[in-house]
Order: sequence, then C-alpha cells, then structure tokens
Amino acid sequence: MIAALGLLVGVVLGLLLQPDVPVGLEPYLPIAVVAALDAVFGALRAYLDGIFDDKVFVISFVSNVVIAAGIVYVGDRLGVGGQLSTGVIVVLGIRIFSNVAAIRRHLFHA
Amino acid sequence: MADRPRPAAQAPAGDTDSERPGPPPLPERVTLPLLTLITQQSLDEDYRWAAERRRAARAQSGTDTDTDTSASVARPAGGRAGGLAAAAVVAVFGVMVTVAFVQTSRQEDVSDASRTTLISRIDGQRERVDAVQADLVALRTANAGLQDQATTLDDDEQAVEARLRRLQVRTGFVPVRGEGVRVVVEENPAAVEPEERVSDLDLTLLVNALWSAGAEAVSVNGQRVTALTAIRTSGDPIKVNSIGIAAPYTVLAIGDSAQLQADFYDTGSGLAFDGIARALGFTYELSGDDELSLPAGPGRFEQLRFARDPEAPPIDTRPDDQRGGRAP
Repeated sequence: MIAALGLLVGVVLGLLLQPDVPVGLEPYLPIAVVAALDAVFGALRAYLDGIFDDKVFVISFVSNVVIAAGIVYVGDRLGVGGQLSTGVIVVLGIRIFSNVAAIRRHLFHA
Repeated sequence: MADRPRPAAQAPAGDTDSERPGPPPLPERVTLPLLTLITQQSLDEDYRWAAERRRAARAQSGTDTDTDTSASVARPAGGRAGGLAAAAVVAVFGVMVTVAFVQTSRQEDVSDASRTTLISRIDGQRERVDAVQADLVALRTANAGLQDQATTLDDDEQAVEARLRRLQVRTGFVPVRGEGVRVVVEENPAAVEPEERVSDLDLTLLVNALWSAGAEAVSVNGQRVTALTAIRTSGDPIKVNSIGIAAPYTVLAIGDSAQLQADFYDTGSGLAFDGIARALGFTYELSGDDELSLPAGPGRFEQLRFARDPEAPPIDTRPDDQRGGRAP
C-alpha cells in the first residue's frame, strides 16, 4: 500500500518537475529503468512469496540500476555499447518474464 | 556446456577437474546452462537468504516468546522505517520511469519533425528526378529527330556537292582533263584589212559551235570559257576573260572527240564559221586528242557582286566592291 503510494508520488513528482537528465547520462536512463523494473518485479514476487525484505529490495534496486548503467557505460567506452546493452536487456527481460510468470501464478493460481 | 547438465551435488567429471582427485562440488552457477540459470535465479536469492535468516532468528527467539506465526515471516525486519525506505525507492523508480517516458516522447517529437522534413525533401527530390527524367526523354527524342535531320542534311549536302561539282565543270570553275578536239585557227597570211582578220565574232561562232556539238568544257588559247566569259575586241587584240590573245588561236573542247568532229558541221554556228573561214581565207583544223587539260576560269568570276540568292542570307558587300563594281 505504502509502496503504491510511493509509486504514485514518484510519477506525479516526475510529471510536475520534469527534471532534465544531464546529456552525459541520457543514454543510460532507459537501461537503468529496465533494471529498476526488474528489481521492482522481483520485489513484488518476493512479497507474494512472503519473503519480501526492505533492505534486500533497496540494495538490489540500487545495485541493479548502477550495474546496468555501468555495463553500458563500459561498453560505450569499449565501443560495444549497443551490443552490451542488448545483452543486458535480454537478461533483464528474461528475469522480468519469469518473475511476472511467478506473480501470475500467485494472483490467478494458474 | 548446455549439453551435459548434471546435479550439482555429483562430483564433476569436467575436462579440467578430472585429474584432480576429490574436487569439491562446483556451485550451481558454474554448472547450469546460462539461460536456465537466469530463469531459475530470476528472484534474487538474497530474499530467500534474508527470509531464512529471519526464520532462523525467529525460531531461536520463538523458543522464548512462542509468538511466531507464518504470516510474520512476510513482515520486514526493519518495520516502519524499512517500509518507508522501500516506498522511497519505489518513488525513485516512478520518477525514473516518468522522466524516461517524458524524455523519449520529447525526443520523438524532434525525430518525428526531422523525419517529416526528410520525407518532404525526399519527395521534392523525387519530383525533381521525375522532371529531369522527363526532360531527358524529351531531349533524347529531340536528339534522335535532329540526328535524322543531320543524316538527311548530309545526304542533301553530298547531292548538292556533286551538283556543284558538275556545275563547276560546266561553268568552267574547276580544271578538267579528258578527251576532246583541238581546233587551230590560222590567220590568212594575205589578209591586210582588219575586216579580213579573224574577229571576236568568228571565235564566238566557233565556241558556240563546239558547245552545240556537245562540248563539256572549252578553252581559247589557255583561257577557259566560263559562263561569264566574253570574247570581244577592244582595239586590236581579241580578249578572252579580259586577257588579250593573238593568232594562232587554239581552241580546246572536251567531249566525245569523234562526235564533236562529226557534229561540228551539223550546227548552225559551225556552218556559219566554216562559211566565214572560206570567205575570209583563214584556215582552221579540227583534230581529236586523247588527253586535253583545261585550266579553271578566273576566280574573280566566282564572286557575285550584285546577284543574290533570294533564299540565302544577305552577302556582306563592302563599299569598295560597289565603287569598283562598274567594270564587268
């Protein structure tokens, strides 16, 4: 409940403020969002599994975002940014899919 | 790697580890195929570990208080502060998603605009290419037409040149050679009076007779008889092409020599010339010749001073020519 409120507050804040992302960080925002999405779905699944933990969630969220952006940054420096971000998206996408499948099993018992 | 899945507990028989005796079992993350690993560990193991730790702690404290329920496992260890931290993180997530969304849609406008510009430019260029191609086709057709015209003109030019050549031969403006007859006219040695001598009219009769008999080119004492040649007397000598000549007069005519000699006396001029020769007593002699060579007429005859082709562009007539143009 409080998490849903937080999400609402965050969306409203983002819409109201519309902060300008620094140009240097702009390419890493989408991949960071996907990583954060993975962390959030993982947390949701853990919550439904009954093993949710705030500390683990905060740490996994931050580390997911930082590592995903970092991988893409390193890839950009090495000249393989596009390929590396594709790899990150694939891995995160698979995780999100299986997490959502687990959540679905919980919600619909199917 | 994905071909040989095996339980992690079993002692691995891997390529590198087979020689070492009694190696410790490899962890799952090493032995599992990558995709399987990703799918299996999609839930962060930390949650499970934290839950186990909590359960262990609770089991320990549960022996003291005995208040633990299965539902309380889901309660975060951090309590209210932990919930707030999670909410803050979720809020950050919301901000990130929103910002990314806003940013993407903003950039979409820009790239849309540039794409529209590009498409319109492409369309414009395509229209230009179409127009240019239509021009190309038109020009090619015109070119083909002009080439046909050029071919026709070439043929015409050749025909005209051939005709010009024939006319030049006829009118005496190119040197010619060929068989013909030679007529040598000798003065009467006894002639005293000017009336008894060979006159310009007599030579004109002779030349006319040769023309009538079929001569194609005639010359008198090396002067070619052209379309503009006059044979006349001004004072004592006879002048042909304004150049004085003296006896004996040699008249060359190119043509069929046998026919020229035969037809000479069939013409009125020939008969008249023969009569005058008998009356005045001068002699003349016709003889065939296989190879006669006649020069061209004077080049100044080719310049037209007053006559103009009505279809040709006006000729540049200089004032000098007009002033001196009275002379024939």
